[in-house]
Amino acid sequence: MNGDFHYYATYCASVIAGYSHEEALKICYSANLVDFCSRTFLRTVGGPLSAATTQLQSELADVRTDILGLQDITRIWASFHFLPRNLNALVKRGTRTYRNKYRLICGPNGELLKAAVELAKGKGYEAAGLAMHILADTWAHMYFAGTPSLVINNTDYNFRELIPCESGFENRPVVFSHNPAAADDPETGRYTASLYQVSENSIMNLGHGRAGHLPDYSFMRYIYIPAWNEYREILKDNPSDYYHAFTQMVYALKYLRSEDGIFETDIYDTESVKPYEEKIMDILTVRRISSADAWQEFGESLSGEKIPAFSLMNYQKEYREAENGNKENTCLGRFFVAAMSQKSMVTSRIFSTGSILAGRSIDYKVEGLRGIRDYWQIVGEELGVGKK
Amino acid sequence: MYEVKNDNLNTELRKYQNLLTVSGEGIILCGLWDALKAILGLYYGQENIYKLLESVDAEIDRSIAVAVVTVIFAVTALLVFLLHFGAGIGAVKEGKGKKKGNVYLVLTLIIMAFAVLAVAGQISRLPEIPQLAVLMDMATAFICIEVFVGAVVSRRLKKRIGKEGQQ
Repeated sequence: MNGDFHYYATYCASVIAGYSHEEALKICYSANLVDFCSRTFLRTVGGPLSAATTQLQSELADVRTDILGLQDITRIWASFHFLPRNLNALVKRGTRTYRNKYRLICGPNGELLKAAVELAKGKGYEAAGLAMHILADTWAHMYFAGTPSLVINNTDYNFRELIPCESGFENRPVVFSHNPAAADDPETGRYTASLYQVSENSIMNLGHGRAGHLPDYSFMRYIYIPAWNEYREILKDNPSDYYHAFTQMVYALKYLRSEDGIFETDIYDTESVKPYEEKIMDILTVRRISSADAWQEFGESLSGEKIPAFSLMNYQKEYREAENGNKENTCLGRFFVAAMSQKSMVTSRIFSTGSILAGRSIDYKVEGLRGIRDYWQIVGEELGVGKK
Repeated sequence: MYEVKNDNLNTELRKYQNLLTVSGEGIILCGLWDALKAILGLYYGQENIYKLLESVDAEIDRSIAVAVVTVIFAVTALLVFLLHFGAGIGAVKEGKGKKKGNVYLVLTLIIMAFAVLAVAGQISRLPEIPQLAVLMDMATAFICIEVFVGAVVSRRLKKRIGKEGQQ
């Protein structure tokens, strides 16, 4: 998903869920920040590097793909952009390595999504925004895994786009180019994707790189045969999936706003969104790279307030000027803690299935404060344990 | 919107079409290997060529003779590659559902016959012959079989799908 959905659509969902304009702005800022909170950004603001929720292209170009590098990549991408649907999925045939990677395939309504939303409850608007980014991406990035893998994430020549026409839908082959500077062109069907690399762990095979940005466009409908699906086709209907994501966000945000209640997967607040369904589907189906203007206009009509454009500079000053020990009470500070909690939870769950793809996970209650120092502050005080 | 066809027949068809595509690409690679082998044969077999020329009674200008032999080797290498390329590209096209033809199957049969004859001739002289060359010829024959399997089975499956679609 792009910034138009993560920022403006999240704002709209927040307002429909009952949040005020100011609260909705904090939620959508955090939701969009997930795509910008790289180590480069964290170095700029002086934040904990373990709170990175993304990797820039320039960082990925320099990344190692040895076991430690792969674990770092998987921790970031599987935790925030490709939340696994079923960590206990059964694999009929294949090695343990293949099984572990297969289990990281992203999809909506998994147990981890429930855990991620529940983790954000009572942790502020920043944690809520972060959870909304993760929830929305489970719909957009469905069928891809947040770890470099040719056998999971590769696509082949059999990739076609469904384009609405008078007689229904036209079926057009997608032409992928590999020039990172070339812009995608929905008119001609030319899109940019990562290069085919035979190396299983090449960074080119991370996430939906081999399918370009197609999963990120709300208007896109495409058919393809994923490498893992045993020659079965998949039809990805983004307008429908994005609408599901929107209605599920409204439901999740209402849950996060309530004093109690439970969050269940596969529940959508279609009732609250029903009055706006036509408008939302109109925005989702128009063939354009960014629908930011349309979402902004819709959001402003909902709240009657002006929605400022997203800026990375927001809240930086507050975080920088806060004294040590008080940084966690700033907007960025709460976001960083929420990000580390989410990353810790996902890593722990993946590790509990016998996979070390996201790294080792330490039970602090048993082993004390060991491992990455940034995490100590999350659990140290809460558990009352000290460094071993 | 679009009816996803994931029944057994269609998934099997995709599997065998994929086999055809991959095998076609394999034949092209084998063609490159054979062409390279011919060129390497010329380069490393110069002594044998000179001996051959010396055994001829007629007086021949040595440089012209070398040039003629080189051209013969180059043309042979090119023909060998084109033979493989024609067979391979035909298989790839049919595998991708673009074009169906029988010419590439005939070419594949010729390549397989050469490969089988080469393996049969080499096995008896195995200690003298590089093992890699024998293995490559065996692999070529195996890939040719895969092309036939891919082509025959995918055509049968297409017919069955067509018939079931009409019913």
